[in-house]
Amino acid sequence: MKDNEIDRALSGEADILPSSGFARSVMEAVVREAQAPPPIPFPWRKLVPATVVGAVGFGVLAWAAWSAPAVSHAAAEGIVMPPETLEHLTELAAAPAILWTSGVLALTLASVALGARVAGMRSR
Amino acid sequence: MSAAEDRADVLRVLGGDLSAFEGIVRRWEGPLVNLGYRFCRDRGRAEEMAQEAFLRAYRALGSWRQDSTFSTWLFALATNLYRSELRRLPLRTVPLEAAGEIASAGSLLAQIAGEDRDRAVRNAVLRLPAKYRETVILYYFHGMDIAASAASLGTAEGTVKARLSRARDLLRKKLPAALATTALEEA
Repeated sequence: MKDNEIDRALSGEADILPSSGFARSVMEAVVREAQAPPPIPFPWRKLVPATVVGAVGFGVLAWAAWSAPAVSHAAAEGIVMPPETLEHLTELAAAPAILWTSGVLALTLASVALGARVAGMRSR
Repeated sequence: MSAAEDRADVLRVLGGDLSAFEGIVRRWEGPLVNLGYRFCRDRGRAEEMAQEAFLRAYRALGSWRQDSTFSTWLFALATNLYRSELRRLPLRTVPLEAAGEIASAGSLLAQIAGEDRDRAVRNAVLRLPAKYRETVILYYFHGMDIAASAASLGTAEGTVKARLSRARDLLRKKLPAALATTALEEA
């Protein structure tokens, strides 16, 4: 097949007409679009303090995790504890699941409370 | 089509007169629906895509910088939309390669002529790889204007020429196969 035959086949195509209600339907969609409330902007002002708090918290945790072995070493070597305190600490160390569970529950409660507070602020 | 009318209507819409957008729709509904139809060969889908193109044009009207004509901007926007719509929901066609074995070159082509042959060529265009298909569609839609096709595709004129040449090669080689798949689809 030659180029001019391809040209003729593809350029000689008759146009189709849009259906009679097409323009009206487009304008209705445009009017709906214009009347729709503007999109809710992303809450950057709320996000920035939360990010800062989160970053600081993460930093504190990272620092604590990094320095904990050194502290416990120092404590083990240099601090003499009364036997009852040592016993109490040993009991705590033997039950880490209770501590973790309590911590996670406290964190969950705090985030639920914070969420409810933020939702209350938005609905006002 | 008047560039001055387009500019005036755009300014009125941007100034808050929504009814002026109807002038734009009336002037460009035919071209946008026809361009969509060439992409998908389905009138209903072409109108849906054209409506979405008008909506996007309305939303983005403020971004038309007037360094090109409104029609160039509108066609580029519509072309982008139609391409992504067809990527999202592709046409149901048999790839040209799938029919390569069953068609003997020239045998089917020799049997048909005129309008049937033209229709077969247009169907074969839909089976080209996307970048060639889009280039061919826009080139013939714009009355074989390389510069307008390049502007709609957002690519260089040299790229359009190279893709057209490759597309013609593919069409010449694969048209008999396309005829066979068309016959299979219609059977």
